Amino acid sequence: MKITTSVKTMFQTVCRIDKNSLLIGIAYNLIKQLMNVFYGVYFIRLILVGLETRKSIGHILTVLVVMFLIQLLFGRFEQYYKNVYFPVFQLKVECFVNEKIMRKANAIPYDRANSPESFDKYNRVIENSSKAIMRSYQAVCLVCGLAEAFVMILYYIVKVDIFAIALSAFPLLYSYFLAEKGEELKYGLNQKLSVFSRKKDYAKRAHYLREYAAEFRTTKIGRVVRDIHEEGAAGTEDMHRKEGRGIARISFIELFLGDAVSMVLPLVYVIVRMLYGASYFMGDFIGIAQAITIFSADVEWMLDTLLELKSASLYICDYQNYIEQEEPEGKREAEIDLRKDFCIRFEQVKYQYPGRKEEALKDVSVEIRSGEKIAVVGENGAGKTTFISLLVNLISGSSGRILLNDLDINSYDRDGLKSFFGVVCQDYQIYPVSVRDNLSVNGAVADAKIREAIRKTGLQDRIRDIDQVIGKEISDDGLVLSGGERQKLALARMIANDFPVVILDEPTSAVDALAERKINSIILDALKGTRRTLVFISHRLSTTKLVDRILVFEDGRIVEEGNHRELMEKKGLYSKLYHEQSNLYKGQGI
Amino acid sequence: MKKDESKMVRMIKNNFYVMKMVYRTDAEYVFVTFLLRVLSGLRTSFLYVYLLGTVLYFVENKKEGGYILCFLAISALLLAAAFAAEAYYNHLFKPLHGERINCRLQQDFFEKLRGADMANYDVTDTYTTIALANEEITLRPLSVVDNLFGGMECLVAAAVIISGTVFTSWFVFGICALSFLVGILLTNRNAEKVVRYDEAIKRKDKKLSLLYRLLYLPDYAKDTRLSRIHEVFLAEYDGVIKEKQAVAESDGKEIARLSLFQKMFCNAFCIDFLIPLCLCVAVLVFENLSVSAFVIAINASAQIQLKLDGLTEAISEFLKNGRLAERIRNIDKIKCDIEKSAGSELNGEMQDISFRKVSFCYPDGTSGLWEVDLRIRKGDKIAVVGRNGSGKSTLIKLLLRFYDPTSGVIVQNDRNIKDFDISAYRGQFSTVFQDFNVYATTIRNNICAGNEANEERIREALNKAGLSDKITDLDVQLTREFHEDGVLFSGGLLQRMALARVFYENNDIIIMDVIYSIVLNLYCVYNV
Repeated sequence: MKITTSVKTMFQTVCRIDKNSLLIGIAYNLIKQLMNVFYGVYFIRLILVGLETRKSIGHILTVLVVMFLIQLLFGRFEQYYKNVYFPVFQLKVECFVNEKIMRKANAIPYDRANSPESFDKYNRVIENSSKAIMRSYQAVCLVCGLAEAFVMILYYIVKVDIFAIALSAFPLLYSYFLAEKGEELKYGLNQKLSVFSRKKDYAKRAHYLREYAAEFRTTKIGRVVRDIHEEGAAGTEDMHRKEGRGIARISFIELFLGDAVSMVLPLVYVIVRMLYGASYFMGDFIGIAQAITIFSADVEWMLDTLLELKSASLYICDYQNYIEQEEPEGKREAEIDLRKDFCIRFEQVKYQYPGRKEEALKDVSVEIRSGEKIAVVGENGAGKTTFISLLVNLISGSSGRILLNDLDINSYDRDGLKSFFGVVCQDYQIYPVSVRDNLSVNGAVADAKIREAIRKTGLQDRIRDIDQVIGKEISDDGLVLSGGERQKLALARMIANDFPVVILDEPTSAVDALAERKINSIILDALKGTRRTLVFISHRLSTTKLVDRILVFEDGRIVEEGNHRELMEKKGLYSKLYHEQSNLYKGQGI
Repeated sequence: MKKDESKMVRMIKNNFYVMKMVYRTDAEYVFVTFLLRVLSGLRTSFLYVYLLGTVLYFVENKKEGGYILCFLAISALLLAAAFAAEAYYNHLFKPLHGERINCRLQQDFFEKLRGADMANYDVTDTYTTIALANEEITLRPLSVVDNLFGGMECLVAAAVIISGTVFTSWFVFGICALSFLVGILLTNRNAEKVVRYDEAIKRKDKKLSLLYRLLYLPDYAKDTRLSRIHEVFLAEYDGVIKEKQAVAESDGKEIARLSLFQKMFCNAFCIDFLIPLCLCVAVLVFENLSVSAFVIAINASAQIQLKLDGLTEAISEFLKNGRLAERIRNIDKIKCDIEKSAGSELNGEMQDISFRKVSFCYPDGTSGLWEVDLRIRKGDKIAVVGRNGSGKSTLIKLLLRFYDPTSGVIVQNDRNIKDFDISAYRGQFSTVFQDFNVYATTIRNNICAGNEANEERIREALNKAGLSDKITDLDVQLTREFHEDGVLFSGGLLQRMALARVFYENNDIIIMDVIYSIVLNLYCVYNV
């Protein structure tokens, strides 16, 4: 069941990429096995019987020359297949499968995607899928080849001595079951070892990471970490001591039955037969002994291949489930006119994170219009980031409505929304691609605009060439930017693109208050006098004086709304927070 | 050509350098592995070539059936012994000794790292050296030993098999030996190509893994959904794969050409054509060859093909190991000038520490401090204030002697701190760094930080840090790294934990790199 569907998926995939791939793979394996059986069984008999029946040397020479020519032809094909066709085909499969997975992964809604299980799943699928499909492809081709080999060998054995078959089957089946048992034991051992290897890895990591280096030099904590490593190593040894004996025993029996007995038994059989008067040609004698040996090796191979097919099919099923998981989204077709004024309205919106008891946002109603400059403030956990995530449609509210120009925001086309909102998140990213690509994330931006944005953020001295790649990770001559410069680049991204709404979700949390003020004023200056809207979240109330409107969040609600002067006069939460912070500045707070 | 040769020599040296490391750590392992590999070489040649040949020889010479069966039984016993040895070696001896060796080497490296100058961590070059060595130190040594002896096993088997053909005919022996030698020569050339191809692909792989990571890490999940950066990356991905395909195709063609030549000459021509032909001629024309000798020769040639394949792999692995072992040799390049410098005891209790015209430049050329004069007396409470990047943390680094000043001196009680034993000097300080760490071990260990544990003093330290109501059981594990029920502390509690560590150490000078001031980044140097 599972295997057939997975093989079907594999067929469909490889045929999409190259119609002939299966044909070529099967042809390769058929010829390869043909040669194997021929040289292993028929060849030696052919020559020996030829010798015994005194065929002429010319006859033998002809056979040899013909075989040599066949090898010559096949050799070319084999080398081409192994070294050129197969590696390239493998890459094509990898590309096809992985792109499919990546597209799918990015289409999963944020709140569902943002969980450890979901990332683990993605990682597993991207790690294994293309490999599993290639394994399945190879296994299927090999099974064809082996089937052919079986037919050839059986034909030979039946012709010469039918009883010989039974001999090889018994020890092999036995060793097959043992092998399975052995695999189980090994798997169990590996499971048990994982905690110890985690300990060892931890010690390795701590010794290597820079942030630990200073403490290792000022305290004796290094000894403690070394002991953790020692524990891991000692535990691993203990486990091997305990489990190794059993595994060794099984592995011995398996090797002995599979390799030694399957070689010796056919010989014993032939000798015994000869003792009881059977007369063979010498060629047949060897032919039959070798036929049995090769036959048993092929049976083992076949069983392994089937196991391989089975294990690959598990991964292929994972892959299938992953790319076929349904998308919970309805149709999104509405388009936004980016040039027109807009209005976003929250109507009694609530939101509850999956698995949490309390609502993160309780009953928020607010309106945002073109050209407004808005600050969102509040203490940790007040719901600021949830509000922003709802605003940009990263997540959808559990009740209430969010309307963009009187239409539910969930009905807008995703790509359209991406051009509508420009967001710098708390953990914003600068990507290891060129400066140009970093700034034009929403499709091509004119060079002049990119340069202007760089100038406005004050990066013109650092970035001379907008085609330079950022970071040393990929390019050796990459541009290394400091934390502050990276922030400015993220801002430049907002300035260069004409997003109608720009949102800063505390990208400044890591810098001091002065630097934050500077960053906020850069963006405020850049957007001043345009119809573009700015919404920023801040912990520190240093820039809030400059905006039109402040939304004060507490416990999932907007408790105050207004500009700085109005809110200060109100003497509510905002003015309390403001005073607390300014007292800190005066040095009384620590 | 000259350059190639020296590179080859380097590879060989690297392999034996690592081999020596293992030998010094555990000579028994090396001996046993050597013996076992020789045994297994003999075993394969016997099982696949001589067993059948000998039986045929007996049959030809009309030996009794019982006699032959007896021989088979003894062979089976010998084989059983060999397989038993192999099974126990693989599943018991090797994992146990391997683990011990790895542990030793790893801990020696830890020792080295703990005694390495901080500068190593701040310079990209040396930091890369550390990172790479850390990766290789447990991987490479055993792989080098395995591969060297694995290659030797192939050679032993091949030698036994080839020399067996001497009895058949000198001519066959000649062809076998020739094809084997030519095979090795060609293999060697091909192996270099394969290694180079792997290298070329690896660089591309680095980029690909970066692209996969984009979707894997939670950090990117928001950005990829809020912008079209994902499309940019898919395009990039496509490009890299296409490049990889091009490399695979062009290099693959070259590799295919070489190995086609090898296969055609060694296998198809020498072994499958020439040897049978000359054997047939011997039988038919000269009538001086027995069937058993014939079979031995034919089987031998087939086995030689296999051994040649094995050796091909061993050689390319050898080259790869040689290249990667360089990373282990680079460990010697890690600088330990400050940490391993010899010094005298402190000259009495600290009265004052002074900076005299201290300037400092980081190894990469960025300047940290310029002609700083400063005096810290016993009992002073000092705050260090300044903008990001103004040199606050550099000051602390010099004070703790993570670095020595480029010019000027730092003196304690009028003696250059360079004169003192480094651990005695640093032993006077307790420091809370901005990015302080908690460790995946018990709370007790986290507070004692490797010092001797004294229950009463731990309680006292917890009390001072305001943690005594939060922490009752000192044996609780911090973090979930190893234990499902490990404790996770919030940021505030962790900071107090770090304070408790300082209180426990009870040193003369406390340095705090304070992050919880929201006004400005402060460095406080307290003298108690």
